[in-house]
Amino acid sequence: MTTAERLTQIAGNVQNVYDSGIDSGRECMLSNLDDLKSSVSITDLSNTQSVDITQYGGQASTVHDGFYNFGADFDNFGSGSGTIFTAAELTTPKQCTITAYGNGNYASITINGQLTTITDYTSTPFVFSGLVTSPISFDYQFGECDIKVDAQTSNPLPSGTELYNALWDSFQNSGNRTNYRGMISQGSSNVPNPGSFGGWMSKYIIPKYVIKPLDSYGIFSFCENLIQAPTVDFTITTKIDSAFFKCESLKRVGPLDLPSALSFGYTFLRCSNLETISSIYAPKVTDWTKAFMQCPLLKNITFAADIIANIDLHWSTLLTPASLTNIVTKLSATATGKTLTLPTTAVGKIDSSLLASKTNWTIAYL
Amino acid sequence: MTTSTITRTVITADDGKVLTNGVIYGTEIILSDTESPETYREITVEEYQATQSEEPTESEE
Repeated sequence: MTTAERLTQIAGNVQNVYDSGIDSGRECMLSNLDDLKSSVSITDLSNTQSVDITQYGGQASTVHDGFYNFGADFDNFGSGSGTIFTAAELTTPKQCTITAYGNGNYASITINGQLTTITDYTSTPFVFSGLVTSPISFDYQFGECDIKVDAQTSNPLPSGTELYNALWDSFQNSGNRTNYRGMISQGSSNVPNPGSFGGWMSKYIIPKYVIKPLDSYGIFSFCENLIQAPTVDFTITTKIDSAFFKCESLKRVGPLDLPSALSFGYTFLRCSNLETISSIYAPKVTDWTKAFMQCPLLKNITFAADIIANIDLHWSTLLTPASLTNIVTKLSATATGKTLTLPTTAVGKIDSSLLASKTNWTIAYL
Repeated sequence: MTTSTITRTVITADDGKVLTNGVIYGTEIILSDTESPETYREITVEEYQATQSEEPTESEE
Protein backbone atom coordinates (compact mmCIF):
# COMPACT_ATOMS: atom_id res chain seq x y z
CA MET A 1 0.00 0.00 0.00
CA THR A 2 1.46 3.32 -0.99
CA THR A 3 1.44 6.35 1.26
CA ALA A 4 -1.26 7.99 -0.83
CA GLU A 5 -3.40 4.86 -0.71
CA ARG A 6 -2.96 4.58 3.03
CA LEU A 7 -3.92 8.20 3.61
CA THR A 8 -6.92 7.76 1.38
CA GLN A 9 -7.89 4.80 3.52
CA ILE A 10 -7.47 6.88 6.66
CA ALA A 11 -9.64 9.61 5.20
CA GLY A 12 -12.16 6.90 4.54
CA ASN A 13 -12.05 5.97 8.20
CA VAL A 14 -12.89 9.53 9.11
CA GLN A 15 -15.70 9.38 6.60
CA ASN A 16 -16.98 6.27 8.32
CA VAL A 17 -16.94 7.95 11.70
CA TYR A 18 -19.06 10.78 10.43
CA ASP A 19 -21.34 8.52 8.46
CA SER A 20 -21.99 5.87 11.02
CA GLY A 21 -20.98 6.64 14.54
CA ILE A 22 -20.61 10.21 15.55
CA ASP A 23 -22.82 11.97 13.11
CA SER A 24 -24.97 9.54 11.25
CA GLY A 25 -25.95 10.41 7.76
CA ARG A 26 -23.84 13.48 7.46
CA GLU A 27 -21.32 13.88 4.77
CA CYS A 28 -17.78 14.62 5.66
CA MET A 29 -14.88 14.67 3.30
CA LEU A 30 -11.41 15.75 4.17
CA SER A 31 -9.84 16.70 0.92
CA ASN A 32 -6.44 17.72 2.11
CA LEU A 33 -4.65 14.54 3.07
CA ASP A 34 -1.40 16.30 3.75
CA ASP A 35 -3.05 18.25 6.53
CA LEU A 36 -4.56 15.08 7.88
CA LYS A 37 -1.20 13.42 7.81
CA SER A 38 0.39 16.23 9.74
CA SER A 39 -2.40 16.23 12.28
CA VAL A 40 -2.20 12.56 13.17
CA SER A 41 0.95 10.75 14.07
CA ILE A 42 1.57 8.13 11.43
CA THR A 43 5.23 7.35 11.45
CA ASP A 44 5.54 4.16 9.44
CA LEU A 45 3.81 3.78 6.14
CA SER A 46 5.84 0.87 4.77
CA ASN A 47 4.26 -1.96 2.87
CA THR A 48 3.39 -5.42 4.04
CA GLN A 49 6.38 -7.74 3.90
CA SER A 50 7.10 -11.40 4.42
CA VAL A 51 8.51 -12.04 7.87
CA ASP A 52 11.89 -13.70 8.12
CA ILE A 53 10.91 -16.52 10.43
CA THR A 54 14.42 -17.82 10.84
CA GLN A 55 14.70 -15.34 13.68
CA TYR A 56 12.04 -17.38 15.47
CA GLY A 57 13.76 -20.72 14.82
CA GLY A 58 12.27 -21.55 11.43
CA GLN A 59 14.20 -22.95 8.53
CA ALA A 60 13.47 -22.62 4.82
CA SER A 61 10.99 -25.19 3.57
CA THR A 62 12.20 -27.47 0.81
CA VAL A 63 8.60 -27.98 -0.37
CA HIS A 64 6.88 -24.58 -0.31
CA ASP A 65 8.80 -21.63 -1.63
CA GLY A 66 8.93 -18.81 0.88
CA PHE A 67 7.65 -20.99 3.73
CA TYR A 68 9.42 -22.11 6.82
CA ASN A 69 9.65 -25.33 8.79
CA PHE A 70 10.10 -25.29 12.51
CA GLY A 71 11.87 -27.47 14.93
CA ALA A 72 14.25 -30.27 14.03
CA ASP A 73 14.09 -32.54 11.02
CA PHE A 74 10.39 -32.54 10.25
CA ASP A 75 10.92 -34.64 7.14
CA ASN A 76 11.75 -37.51 9.44
CA PHE A 77 8.45 -37.21 11.18
CA GLY A 78 9.79 -35.44 14.16
CA SER A 79 7.82 -33.29 16.57
CA GLY A 80 8.13 -29.69 17.51
CA SER A 81 6.58 -26.42 18.42
CA GLY A 82 7.44 -22.79 18.17
CA THR A 83 6.36 -19.22 18.37
CA ILE A 84 6.32 -16.42 15.84
CA PHE A 85 6.60 -12.90 17.19
CA THR A 86 7.28 -11.98 20.74
CA ALA A 87 4.97 -10.23 23.13
CA ALA A 88 7.22 -7.19 22.92
CA GLU A 89 6.66 -7.05 19.18
CA LEU A 90 2.91 -7.12 19.62
CA THR A 91 2.33 -4.36 22.11
CA THR A 92 0.12 -3.01 19.35
CA PRO A 93 -1.78 -5.34 17.01
CA LYS A 94 -0.06 -6.29 13.80
CA GLN A 95 -1.89 -6.76 10.54
CA CYS A 96 -0.90 -10.20 9.21
CA THR A 97 -1.72 -12.75 6.59
CA ILE A 98 -0.67 -16.20 7.76
CA THR A 99 -0.56 -19.13 5.41
CA ALA A 100 0.18 -22.64 6.67
CA TYR A 101 0.34 -26.16 5.29
CA GLY A 102 0.30 -29.15 7.60
CA ASN A 103 -0.31 -32.85 7.71
CA GLY A 104 0.40 -35.81 9.87
CA ASN A 105 -1.24 -36.96 13.04
CA TYR A 106 -1.40 -33.51 14.44
CA ALA A 107 -0.50 -30.03 13.29
CA SER A 108 -2.05 -26.92 14.65
CA ILE A 109 -1.58 -23.19 14.78
CA THR A 110 -2.92 -20.86 17.44
CA ILE A 111 -3.67 -17.27 16.48
CA ASN A 112 -5.16 -14.85 18.97
CA GLY A 113 -5.91 -17.79 21.24
CA GLN A 114 -7.81 -19.65 18.54
CA LEU A 115 -6.37 -23.11 17.80
CA THR A 116 -6.84 -24.50 14.29
CA THR A 117 -5.85 -27.96 13.11
CA ILE A 118 -4.12 -27.95 9.73
CA THR A 119 -4.50 -31.05 7.61
CA ASP A 120 -3.61 -30.13 4.02
CA TYR A 121 0.04 -30.07 3.08
CA THR A 122 -0.20 -29.94 -0.70
CA SER A 123 -3.08 -28.01 -2.20
CA THR A 124 -5.22 -25.81 0.03
CA PRO A 125 -3.43 -24.04 2.84
CA PHE A 126 -4.96 -22.62 5.96
CA VAL A 127 -5.11 -18.82 5.64
CA PHE A 128 -5.69 -16.21 8.32
CA SER A 129 -5.81 -12.52 7.54
CA GLY A 130 -6.35 -9.94 10.23
CA LEU A 131 -4.93 -8.34 13.32
CA VAL A 132 -2.61 -10.47 15.42
CA THR A 133 -2.63 -9.45 19.04
CA SER A 134 -0.53 -12.19 20.65
CA PRO A 135 2.38 -14.43 19.61
CA ILE A 136 1.50 -17.06 17.02
CA SER A 137 2.21 -20.53 18.31
CA PHE A 138 2.19 -23.82 16.51
CA ASP A 139 2.48 -27.41 17.52
CA TYR A 140 3.36 -30.28 15.31
CA GLN A 141 3.78 -34.02 15.71
CA PHE A 142 4.56 -36.75 13.19
CA GLY A 143 4.14 -34.87 9.91
CA GLU A 144 4.94 -31.68 8.07
CA CYS A 145 4.12 -28.10 8.92
CA ASP A 146 5.17 -25.16 6.74
CA ILE A 147 4.23 -21.63 7.64
CA LYS A 148 4.49 -18.29 5.93
CA VAL A 149 3.66 -14.96 7.56
CA ASP A 150 3.17 -11.69 5.72
CA ALA A 151 2.90 -8.76 8.08
CA GLN A 152 2.75 -5.02 7.96
CA THR A 153 5.88 -3.58 9.39
CA SER A 154 3.88 -0.61 10.65
CA ASN A 155 1.14 -0.50 13.19
CA PRO A 156 -2.29 -1.13 11.73
CA LEU A 157 -4.49 1.73 10.72
CA PRO A 158 -6.22 3.43 13.60
CA SER A 159 -9.93 2.93 13.79
CA GLY A 160 -12.21 5.72 12.75
CA THR A 161 -12.94 6.67 16.33
CA GLU A 162 -9.26 6.60 17.26
CA LEU A 163 -8.46 8.75 14.30
CA TYR A 164 -11.27 11.19 15.05
CA ASN A 165 -10.11 11.52 18.65
CA ALA A 166 -6.47 11.88 17.70
CA LEU A 167 -7.27 14.47 15.10
CA TRP A 168 -9.41 16.72 17.29
CA ASP A 169 -7.46 16.13 20.52
CA SER A 170 -4.42 17.35 18.68
CA PHE A 171 -6.10 20.18 16.83
CA GLN A 172 -8.15 21.44 19.75
CA ASN A 173 -5.47 20.78 22.34
CA SER A 174 -7.85 18.49 24.18
CA GLY A 175 -10.42 21.25 24.36
CA ASN A 176 -8.06 23.96 25.58
CA ARG A 177 -7.41 25.72 22.29
CA THR A 178 -8.56 29.35 22.12
CA ASN A 179 -6.73 30.64 19.07
CA TYR A 180 -8.98 29.62 16.22
CA ARG A 181 -7.69 32.22 13.84
CA GLY A 182 -8.34 30.85 10.37
CA MET A 183 -8.92 27.48 11.97
CA ILE A 184 -10.96 25.76 9.32
CA SER A 185 -10.51 28.26 6.60
CA GLN A 186 -10.54 26.85 3.13
CA GLY A 187 -7.55 28.98 2.46
CA SER A 188 -6.67 32.61 2.19
CA SER A 189 -3.53 34.60 2.48
CA ASN A 190 -5.53 36.88 4.73
CA VAL A 191 -6.07 34.31 7.42
CA PRO A 192 -2.74 32.56 7.91
CA ASN A 193 -2.61 30.23 10.85
CA PRO A 194 -0.04 27.46 10.81
CA GLY A 195 -1.63 24.22 11.87
CA SER A 196 -5.09 25.11 10.70
CA PHE A 197 -7.17 22.92 8.46
CA GLY A 198 -6.82 24.15 4.94
CA GLY A 199 -9.17 23.08 2.22
CA TRP A 200 -12.16 22.09 4.30
CA MET A 201 -14.63 20.95 1.66
CA SER A 202 -17.27 19.31 3.81
CA LYS A 203 -20.80 20.51 4.39
CA TYR A 204 -20.28 20.08 8.11
CA ILE A 205 -17.65 20.60 10.77
CA ILE A 206 -18.08 18.35 13.77
CA PRO A 207 -15.32 18.96 16.29
CA LYS A 208 -14.87 16.84 19.39
CA TYR A 209 -14.92 19.80 21.76
CA VAL A 210 -17.05 22.91 21.71
CA ILE A 211 -15.09 25.61 19.96
CA LYS A 212 -14.46 28.47 22.38
CA PRO A 213 -12.25 30.96 20.62
CA LEU A 214 -10.58 34.08 21.83
CA ASP A 215 -9.59 34.96 18.29
CA SER A 216 -12.15 33.98 15.65
CA TYR A 217 -10.65 35.92 12.78
CA GLY A 218 -11.51 34.02 9.60
CA ILE A 219 -12.45 30.93 11.55
CA PHE A 220 -14.69 29.45 8.85
CA SER A 221 -13.74 31.70 5.96
CA PHE A 222 -13.89 30.23 2.47
CA CYS A 223 -15.74 27.12 3.65
CA GLU A 224 -17.88 27.40 0.58
CA ASN A 225 -19.65 24.06 1.04
CA LEU A 226 -20.47 24.49 4.70
CA ILE A 227 -24.23 24.40 5.17
CA GLN A 228 -24.24 24.32 8.96
CA ALA A 229 -21.74 25.94 11.23
CA PRO A 230 -20.78 24.02 14.34
CA THR A 231 -21.78 25.23 17.76
CA VAL A 232 -19.33 27.88 18.86
CA ASP A 233 -19.07 29.49 22.26
CA PHE A 234 -18.16 33.06 21.34
CA THR A 235 -18.46 34.44 24.84
CA ILE A 236 -14.75 35.25 25.13
CA THR A 237 -14.25 36.24 21.51
CA THR A 238 -12.94 39.72 20.89
CA LYS A 239 -12.36 39.48 17.16
CA ILE A 240 -14.76 37.88 14.72
CA ASP A 241 -13.69 39.61 11.53
CA SER A 242 -14.05 37.56 8.35
CA ALA A 243 -15.34 34.64 10.43
CA PHE A 244 -17.86 33.49 7.81
CA PHE A 245 -16.27 35.21 4.83
CA LYS A 246 -17.44 33.51 1.62
CA CYS A 247 -19.41 30.77 3.34
CA GLU A 248 -21.57 30.69 0.27
CA SER A 249 -23.68 27.69 1.26
CA LEU A 250 -24.69 28.87 4.71
CA LYS A 251 -28.35 29.79 5.01
CA ARG A 252 -28.68 30.27 8.71
CA VAL A 253 -26.37 31.37 11.50
CA GLY A 254 -26.93 31.96 15.16
CA PRO A 255 -27.70 32.71 17.78
CA LEU A 256 -24.41 34.56 18.21
CA ASP A 257 -23.61 35.58 21.77
CA LEU A 258 -20.66 37.95 21.57
CA PRO A 259 -20.53 40.02 24.73
CA SER A 260 -16.82 40.81 24.29
CA ALA A 261 -16.54 41.35 20.56
CA LEU A 262 -15.32 44.74 19.41
CA SER A 263 -14.66 44.11 15.77
CA PHE A 264 -17.04 42.75 13.13
CA GLY A 265 -15.31 43.56 9.83
CA TYR A 266 -16.31 41.46 6.85
CA THR A 267 -17.79 38.85 9.15
CA PHE A 268 -20.43 37.75 6.64
CA LEU A 269 -18.87 39.09 3.47
CA ARG A 270 -20.13 37.17 0.42
CA CYS A 271 -22.42 34.87 2.35
CA SER A 272 -24.45 34.83 -0.81
CA ASN A 273 -27.11 32.42 0.43
CA LEU A 274 -27.41 33.57 4.00
CA GLU A 275 -31.05 34.17 4.84
CA THR A 276 -31.20 34.28 8.60
CA ILE A 277 -29.03 35.44 11.45
CA SER A 278 -31.26 34.38 14.26
CA SER A 279 -29.85 36.62 16.94
CA ILE A 280 -26.77 38.71 17.54
CA TYR A 281 -25.88 39.90 21.00
CA ALA A 282 -22.84 42.13 20.56
CA PRO A 283 -23.21 45.29 22.61
CA LYS A 284 -19.59 46.47 22.28
CA VAL A 285 -19.05 46.36 18.53
CA THR A 286 -17.59 49.63 17.30
CA ASP A 287 -18.17 49.22 13.57
CA TRP A 288 -20.81 47.23 11.70
CA THR A 289 -20.36 48.85 8.29
CA LYS A 290 -18.62 45.92 6.63
CA ALA A 291 -20.13 43.06 8.57
CA PHE A 292 -22.93 42.21 6.15
CA MET A 293 -21.38 43.10 2.82
CA GLN A 294 -22.83 41.23 -0.14
CA CYS A 295 -25.47 39.25 1.71
CA PRO A 296 -28.19 39.71 -0.91
CA LEU A 297 -30.57 37.07 0.46
CA LEU A 298 -30.48 38.11 4.09
CA LYS A 299 -34.07 38.44 5.22
CA ASN A 300 -34.13 37.87 8.92
CA ILE A 301 -31.81 39.41 11.46
CA THR A 302 -32.39 40.17 15.09
CA PHE A 303 -30.19 42.34 17.24
CA ALA A 304 -30.47 41.51 20.91
CA ALA A 305 -28.45 44.47 22.15
CA ASP A 306 -28.44 48.15 21.32
CA ILE A 307 -26.48 49.16 18.25
CA ILE A 308 -23.92 51.81 19.12
CA ALA A 309 -21.89 51.96 15.91
CA ASN A 310 -22.34 52.72 12.23
CA ILE A 311 -24.12 49.89 10.50
CA ASP A 312 -24.66 49.19 6.82
CA LEU A 313 -27.18 46.66 5.53
CA HIS A 314 -27.88 48.13 2.10
CA TRP A 315 -26.77 44.95 0.31
CA SER A 316 -29.67 43.05 1.88
CA THR A 317 -32.66 44.12 -0.16
CA LEU A 318 -34.94 41.37 1.16
CA LEU A 319 -34.93 42.33 4.83
CA THR A 320 -38.34 41.76 6.33
CA PRO A 321 -40.34 44.53 7.99
CA ALA A 322 -39.85 42.75 11.31
CA SER A 323 -36.08 42.76 10.87
CA LEU A 324 -36.07 46.40 9.78
CA THR A 325 -38.16 47.36 12.77
CA ASN A 326 -35.82 45.47 15.10
CA ILE A 327 -32.79 47.20 13.64
CA VAL A 328 -34.19 50.69 14.01
CA THR A 329 -35.58 49.94 17.45
CA LYS A 330 -32.15 48.83 18.61
CA LEU A 331 -30.38 51.99 17.47
CA SER A 332 -28.89 53.40 20.62
CA ALA A 333 -30.61 56.44 22.05
CA THR A 334 -27.32 57.81 23.30
CA ALA A 335 -24.97 57.27 20.37
CA THR A 336 -24.11 60.38 18.42
CA GLY A 337 -22.89 60.91 14.88
CA LYS A 338 -23.81 57.38 13.80
CA THR A 339 -25.42 56.17 10.60
CA LEU A 340 -27.71 53.31 9.64
CA THR A 341 -27.63 52.49 5.93
CA LEU A 342 -30.49 50.44 4.52
CA PRO A 343 -31.47 49.35 1.02
CA THR A 344 -33.94 51.51 -0.86
CA THR A 345 -36.31 48.54 -0.74
CA ALA A 346 -36.75 49.34 2.95
CA VAL A 347 -38.34 52.69 2.25
CA GLY A 348 -41.88 52.70 3.59
CA LYS A 349 -41.50 49.42 5.53
CA ILE A 350 -40.60 50.99 8.85
CA ASP A 351 -43.03 52.85 11.03
CA SER A 352 -42.48 56.54 10.37
CA SER A 353 -42.83 57.54 14.02
CA LEU A 354 -40.16 55.01 14.96
CA LEU A 355 -37.85 56.41 12.32
CA ALA A 356 -38.58 59.95 13.40
CA SER A 357 -37.77 59.15 17.01
CA LYS A 358 -34.17 58.29 16.21
CA THR A 359 -33.12 61.88 15.88
CA ASN A 360 -29.56 61.14 16.91
CA TRP A 361 -29.05 58.82 13.92
CA THR A 362 -28.57 59.47 10.24
CA ILE A 363 -30.58 56.96 8.27
CA ALA A 364 -29.52 56.52 4.68
CA TYR A 365 -31.13 54.47 1.92
CA LEU A 366 -28.78 53.30 -0.78
CA MET B 1 -50.99 64.70 27.99
CA THR B 2 -48.29 66.24 25.93
CA THR B 3 -48.10 65.84 22.20
CA SER B 4 -44.93 66.66 20.32
CA THR B 5 -44.05 66.61 16.66
CA ILE B 6 -40.65 65.42 15.56
CA THR B 7 -39.43 66.95 12.37
CA ARG B 8 -36.73 65.22 10.37
CA THR B 9 -34.98 66.57 7.32
CA VAL B 10 -34.90 64.21 4.37
CA ILE B 11 -32.69 64.82 1.34
CA THR B 12 -33.08 62.90 -1.90
CA ALA B 13 -30.61 62.55 -4.75
CA ASP B 14 -31.49 63.13 -8.37
CA ASP B 15 -31.81 60.07 -10.59
CA GLY B 16 -28.46 58.45 -11.26
CA LYS B 17 -26.84 60.33 -8.42
CA VAL B 18 -25.76 59.43 -4.89
CA LEU B 19 -25.59 61.83 -1.97
CA THR B 20 -22.51 61.86 0.18
CA ASN B 21 -20.78 63.87 2.82
CA GLY B 22 -17.60 61.91 2.22
CA VAL B 23 -18.49 59.23 4.72
CA ILE B 24 -22.18 58.52 4.35
CA TYR B 25 -23.70 57.49 1.01
CA GLY B 26 -27.36 57.27 0.07
CA THR B 27 -29.96 58.12 -2.49
CA GLU B 28 -32.27 59.20 0.31
CA ILE B 29 -30.98 60.30 3.67
CA ILE B 30 -32.81 61.17 6.86
CA LEU B 31 -30.51 63.59 8.59
CA SER B 32 -29.79 63.49 12.27
CA ASP B 33 -30.62 66.49 14.39
CA THR B 34 -27.02 67.68 14.27
CA GLU B 35 -26.61 67.56 10.50
CA SER B 36 -27.20 70.11 7.79
CA PRO B 37 -28.10 69.38 4.16
CA GLU B 38 -25.32 71.69 3.06
CA THR B 39 -22.72 69.14 4.10
CA TYR B 40 -23.92 66.77 1.39
CA ARG B 41 -23.22 66.80 -2.32
CA GLU B 42 -24.22 64.64 -5.26
CA ILE B 43 -21.88 62.28 -7.06
CA THR B 44 -22.54 59.87 -9.92
CA VAL B 45 -23.14 56.19 -9.32
CA GLU B 46 -19.84 55.47 -11.03
CA GLU B 47 -18.05 57.79 -8.66
CA TYR B 48 -19.73 56.08 -5.73
CA GLN B 49 -18.75 52.62 -6.97
CA ALA B 50 -15.18 53.72 -7.33
CA THR B 51 -15.08 54.42 -3.61
CA GLN B 52 -16.10 50.91 -2.65
CA SER B 53 -13.69 48.09 -1.90
CA GLU B 54 -15.01 44.67 -1.11
CA GLU B 55 -12.14 42.43 -0.11
CA PRO B 56 -10.60 42.45 3.34
CA THR B 57 -6.92 43.01 3.51
CA GLU B 58 -4.62 42.11 6.35
CA SER B 59 -4.09 45.76 7.08
CA GLU B 60 -7.80 46.05 7.83
CA GLU B 61 -7.77 43.63 10.76
